[in-house]
Amino acid sequence: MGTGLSKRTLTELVCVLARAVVVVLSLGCASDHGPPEERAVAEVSVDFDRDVRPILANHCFSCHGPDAAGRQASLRLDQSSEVFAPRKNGQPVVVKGDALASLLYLRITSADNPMPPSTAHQPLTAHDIDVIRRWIDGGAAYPDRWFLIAPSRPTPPAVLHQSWVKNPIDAFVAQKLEELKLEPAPEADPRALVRRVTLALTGLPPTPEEVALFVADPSEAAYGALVDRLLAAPAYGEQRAHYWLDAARYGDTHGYHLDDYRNAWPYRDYVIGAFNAGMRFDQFTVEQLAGDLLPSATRDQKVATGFIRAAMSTNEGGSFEDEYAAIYAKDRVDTLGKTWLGLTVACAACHDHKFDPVSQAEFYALTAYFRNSTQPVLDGNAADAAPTILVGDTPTLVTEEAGTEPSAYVLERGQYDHPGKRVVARVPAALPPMPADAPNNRLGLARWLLLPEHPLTARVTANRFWSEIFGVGLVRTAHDFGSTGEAPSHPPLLDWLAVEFRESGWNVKALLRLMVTSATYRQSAVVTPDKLLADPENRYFSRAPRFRMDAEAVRDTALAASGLLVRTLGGPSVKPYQPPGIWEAVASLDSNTAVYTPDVGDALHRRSLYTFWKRTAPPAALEVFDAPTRQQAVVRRERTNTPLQALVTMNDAEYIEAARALASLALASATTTAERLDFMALRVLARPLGAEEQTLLAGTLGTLASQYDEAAGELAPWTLVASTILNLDEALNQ
Amino acid sequence: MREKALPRFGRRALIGGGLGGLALSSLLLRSGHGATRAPGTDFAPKAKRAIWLFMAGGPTQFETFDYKPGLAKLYGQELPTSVRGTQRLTGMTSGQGSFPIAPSLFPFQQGGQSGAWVSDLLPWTRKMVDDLTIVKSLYTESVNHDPAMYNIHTGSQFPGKPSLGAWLSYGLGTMNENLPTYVVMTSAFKTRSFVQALMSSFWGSAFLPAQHAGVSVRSLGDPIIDIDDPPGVTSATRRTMLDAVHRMNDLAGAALGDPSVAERTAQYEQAFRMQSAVPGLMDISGESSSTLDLYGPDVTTAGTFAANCLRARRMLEQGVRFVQVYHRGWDAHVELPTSTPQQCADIDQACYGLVQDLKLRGLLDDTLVIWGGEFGRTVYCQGTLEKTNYGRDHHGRCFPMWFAGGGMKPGIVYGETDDFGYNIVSGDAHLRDMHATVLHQLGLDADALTFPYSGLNQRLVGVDATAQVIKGILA
Repeated sequence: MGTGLSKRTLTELVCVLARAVVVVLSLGCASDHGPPEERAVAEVSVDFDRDVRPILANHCFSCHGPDAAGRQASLRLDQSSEVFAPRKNGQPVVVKGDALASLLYLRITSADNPMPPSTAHQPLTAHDIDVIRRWIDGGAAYPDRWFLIAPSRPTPPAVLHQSWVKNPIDAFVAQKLEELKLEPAPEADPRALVRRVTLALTGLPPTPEEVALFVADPSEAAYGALVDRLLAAPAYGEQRAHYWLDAARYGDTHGYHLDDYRNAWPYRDYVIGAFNAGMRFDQFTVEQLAGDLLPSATRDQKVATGFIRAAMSTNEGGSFEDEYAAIYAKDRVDTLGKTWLGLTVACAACHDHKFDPVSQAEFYALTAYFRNSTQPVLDGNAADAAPTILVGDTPTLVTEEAGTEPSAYVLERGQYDHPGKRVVARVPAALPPMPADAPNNRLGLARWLLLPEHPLTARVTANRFWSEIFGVGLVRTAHDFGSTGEAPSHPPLLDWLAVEFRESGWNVKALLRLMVTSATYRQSAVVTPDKLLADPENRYFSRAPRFRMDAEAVRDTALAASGLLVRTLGGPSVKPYQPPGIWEAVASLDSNTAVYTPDVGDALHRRSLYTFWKRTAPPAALEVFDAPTRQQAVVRRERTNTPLQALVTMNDAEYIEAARALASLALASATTTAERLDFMALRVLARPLGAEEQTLLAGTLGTLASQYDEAAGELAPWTLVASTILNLDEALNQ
Repeated sequence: MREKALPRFGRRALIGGGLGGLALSSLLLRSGHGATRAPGTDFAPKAKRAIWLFMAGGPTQFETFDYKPGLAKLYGQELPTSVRGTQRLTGMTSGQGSFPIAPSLFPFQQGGQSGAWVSDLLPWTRKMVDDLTIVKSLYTESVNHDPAMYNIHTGSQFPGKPSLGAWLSYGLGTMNENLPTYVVMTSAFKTRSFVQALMSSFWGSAFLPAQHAGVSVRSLGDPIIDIDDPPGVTSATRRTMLDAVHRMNDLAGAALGDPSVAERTAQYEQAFRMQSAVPGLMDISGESSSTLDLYGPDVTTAGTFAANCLRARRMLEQGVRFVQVYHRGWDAHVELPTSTPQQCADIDQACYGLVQDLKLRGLLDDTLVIWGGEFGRTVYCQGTLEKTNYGRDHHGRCFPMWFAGGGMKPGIVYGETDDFGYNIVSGDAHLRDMHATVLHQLGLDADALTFPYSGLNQRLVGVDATAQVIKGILA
């Protein structure tokens, strides 16, 4: 490649900035453009964080990484100092600029003595080997782990599409698109936009009136006012809460053994209230991890510690208390890791972390923060296992600190009955130290997470909010920013958002406002064949995000569009329709959640986040749409597409009821077939139907009417047409 | 932003890039992608499908397959501490001052040509011992239900790992377009005490893509949740509605240029095919009386273990890859002489019927039948030992399972326990070895069947990949 030298120089330059930002050097080497399929190899320069570290992590670190006990040949490949240090023979394993002189390269290409050994079942592909070769030949830049370096605010780049840019998000996105030679999509139709942003911020579709209002005035100011109104709506907090409750592994039962009921819902309402009140995320963090330790803690601050109590608990006869105490503590550190740190710290429960700098002792030092509570190990199958606080007349689960110094034992190989040395609570050394004046307990831990120099909390949190709005994180592995997670698609954007978020006073609404008012977000979802090839998964936002709504929103949208939705905020969980036998088939006979009896009246039509969550048999219609079981923290839901989902939205009682209600409304509110069809489409899709669609659905209505007995009346065929609209791909997507 | 309709691919595949989702969909519809084999190893599958008759709660070995005639004369004597050793006991008996030996109240007899000993509580099973591979020497480190159930389903004592069935689905793919790949059924049971809960995560996919999770097929209500059309919707009106969905989606997909729209339509069409296929699957009116007789009188009562076994056979015939039929209530802490005979009566003839039915249809050769639960039970009595009444606590150091078909060596008893049925003397096999063996018979290398998650190549048999196929039980 004729441009090799300039690439190398530039790459090294970038690396001086401590972090190899993903740079595609298309500006200097436009002649490299081949067909799109070849670009990945031919054009894109090797980026250590994006391309090389994952290969080393997945194939090498297991034996040549941070785990001292498992390390082979005294060789560490996870630290640049060791990669480039002379070995016994005087040569480092990687000779910068010369793959063929590098033992690492020679071993991975060796025919008779290859690395990784075949026994490891981790063979490198030809592509992996080629990446390593190009990395070494290109100078073997080895920046420190980006996720351990605190973000500093990058300057939004100057881009050719300056007029498209509405805020700094767009500058970073445009920079990437320009590198890929892609144009942003035109702005979305106002109807598509009002639907998209309303669903994103509230989890509900806009009403026809809201659509009409915005269509009449889709100006910049009107869009801003729309966003502000949505951020102020009570439904906003409900929508945010359903994501957070996955991370908090919130459920209405204990989770283990009898899986009996517990009073957890006041914590759920705390979360909704906090988002609606615009609570700063730092305060939100402190209250949930340590609300009980705040001076003159309020009732709500204590309720917030229900976050810690949301972990599963058991009362199985014969259980070993030490075993479950260890399980609970591990779960809490796992949750902390996924939710705030974006690190798979729980991997270090049995041995030093294989990929990231978290030793086994450090893992147990983290568990110490959570082992210092007064919660008994066995829950007595009680709804209100101590400690509790009264909310109204409901005693709800909270956390209380024991008066001892937080400490724990290192459990050898993770086994609760093999305690090793005692460790005092401590944060991992690879991250910033605990401030000297901070108490070394959960309160100190929470404040430590929020330090300006902390490299992870702001990034991880901004990324998670980004994934809520755009459907996928800038770091797709939202729970794992470490060596084996995926590198960010837009590293400078992630850092900019993280710093902006922190410096805004951890203002969640402001952060979301930035996202949804960006030009990036306001694009049309139309995709061109070029974009499908160059950006097949829309990681570079060459068009609007478009993805299937979460389980809750699928159901809530049907209820809202049909006018059935009951908008009561908070309170005890409810039991909407559910096919019979789902609890009964699996529950213990002695469980007080063995028999599912649906509620009646309004409780049938509440928003889905109020649905009673039995963790051993989660709400069936939600689980089919990838709602997690809430047994463990989840910060990124799967998004699958299966026939079982189609069965739910076509046949489930609540969807049939919604279709019938929507049809009845249409029949009552409009007279002609065309008006009635548009009436329904407006409520579900936020738009009237096109001419072709009108003809098509009118034809469907006619066919259905002929298939039904006349005695069935108008409602039967109209119900199926309503069901048709509720089952459109467009209706299920936001 | 396309949704996953099919198994996702590792980072490598994404960087390599290029194949569109639709192309992949069609490539992968039938074949899994976990079946990579180490060069030079022979993993020709012996079985195409499998069924696990899951005895939840921990069936006793002393009243089923582990004949210990010597215990009779030790009735009520203290279990020697040299036998009990230092391993942990559950909290239910660890505080007992005494560990009196409780011999089985039920006699054993030999069956078949192989002469395997089986208790009188399982006469039908005894009739077919020449078809069975009885293993007496499995062990698990778990001694309480929740950890033990997760362990035997997922290879890990804690929630969060995919079940064996999900791995099979992921590794082997589907064999049909109308039915789920992995089906779970729960059965009625007679005993009324110590019935442990099941959890949907026992058949969950965890970090594997969700379509690999077990699909619950129910005996009450819709067999699959919401598979029946609601009242007033006929097959014809459903077709009309689906045609409209299809054509509306085509219009929207064309306007958007987004092929994921067509993927959604395809899922609706598969749902429609399932709606046609499943009712026929559940309808046993076409089964001959000689077939029904094999399974015993319970077979015509929906929801019984026998009825589920027959339906399972129909599913296996029609291309379901893996079926798990649960039977609960084996947790005999007290009154074992009352509950265990009831439990055995629930399942005995049905197990016989299933194996014989598969054999008669020529399906047994490539269908692996698995029988067993999460652990065994203690030789010593839990609580007070009486002449006609006793209970047994959980015991993980040895427990029995049996296998039939699927390339297993029939007519053998594998592994031996000590005179007290407490420790394994020979043929010790960890539950992960059993997992590796099941995968092996289905053509999968347990070490090579991996999925990248949390930075590790996850395996059913654990990231350390130390499990061994139990070679001694293979044909």
